[in-house]
Amino acid sequence: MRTIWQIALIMAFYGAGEFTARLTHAPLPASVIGLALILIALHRRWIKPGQLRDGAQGLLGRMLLFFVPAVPVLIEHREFVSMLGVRLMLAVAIGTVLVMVVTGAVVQMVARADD
Amino acid sequence: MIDWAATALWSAITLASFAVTRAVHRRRPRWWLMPLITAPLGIALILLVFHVPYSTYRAGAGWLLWMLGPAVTAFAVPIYDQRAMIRRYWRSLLAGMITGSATSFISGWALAGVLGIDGPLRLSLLPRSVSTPFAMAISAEIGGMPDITAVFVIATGILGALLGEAAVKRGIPSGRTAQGAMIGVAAHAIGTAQVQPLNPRVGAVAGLAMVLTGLLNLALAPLALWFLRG
Repeated sequence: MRTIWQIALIMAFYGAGEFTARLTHAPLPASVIGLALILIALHRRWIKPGQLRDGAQGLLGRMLLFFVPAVPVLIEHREFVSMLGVRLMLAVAIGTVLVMVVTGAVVQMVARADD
Repeated sequence: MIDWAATALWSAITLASFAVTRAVHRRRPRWWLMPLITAPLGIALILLVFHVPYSTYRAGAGWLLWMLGPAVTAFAVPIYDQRAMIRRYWRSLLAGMITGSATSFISGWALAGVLGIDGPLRLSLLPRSVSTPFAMAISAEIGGMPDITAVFVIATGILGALLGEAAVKRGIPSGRTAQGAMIGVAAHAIGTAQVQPLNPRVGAVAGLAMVLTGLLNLALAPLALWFLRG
């Protein structure tokens, strides 16, 4: 029950983010404004991290589920079941490995300089 | 007008396929049994067998996808918990996010060129390393196809999550900050969710890197596109 209330509180911050985005026409997603609002509220000690932690864990732990409804769109794109699909996956795979190698190496190098 | 019966039906099917595939994956932890691969496959089969168009399914189960927004907001809590570490390593994180995002855009563009992928499909490939709400916004802005970008985002996330998990378990790279940044920048929320249980610090860095990379990409996408087009 506590988790549900905390999720509702996080969604209220998200709603405030949505409201702010509409009001100011800020080119930022509501989720990011909501995140910033929570950080401000925690920093100013308007709320304690303990008042959100279970709710945050509840949402973050279900994140993979939230991605599921995006994937079956592929049934409308039979053209991907072909060499085109293979080429696209190849581009995604090589690109992902490159990004991981570059990011990991750069952060490791600069972080060592930080220590 | 919301069709409550259809919403209940398609939501229940989505939740049930996720629960079943997750139980299967817990028993047999093979990569190809990941719920994010098998659950959509099951749903797609149901849609095909009963001749249901994707738009009908999406109208019913789309609110789950909408929940990604509040979930991104929830990353505020682990980010706040790790603020001391972030304050210490912000320089390296920023460097990693900038070079990682640049690599993502440039490699996406170049690989599509080499592999003969062009037009809106090529543009849809570019924002794949950032989380879905960001990526779909960027894709729309630069003339890609947001729905298709979402699929690339998820494919990228699955691959990055698997590689990232293997790397964290083997301690590559050796620093926890570098591991988190690598996963957050390359594999956004899917990678972050995968490594969160392994190490809270890696998870928090990944969450922060993911959110900031999304913002950075949103700001730089039009610029990057203009540059690539020459």
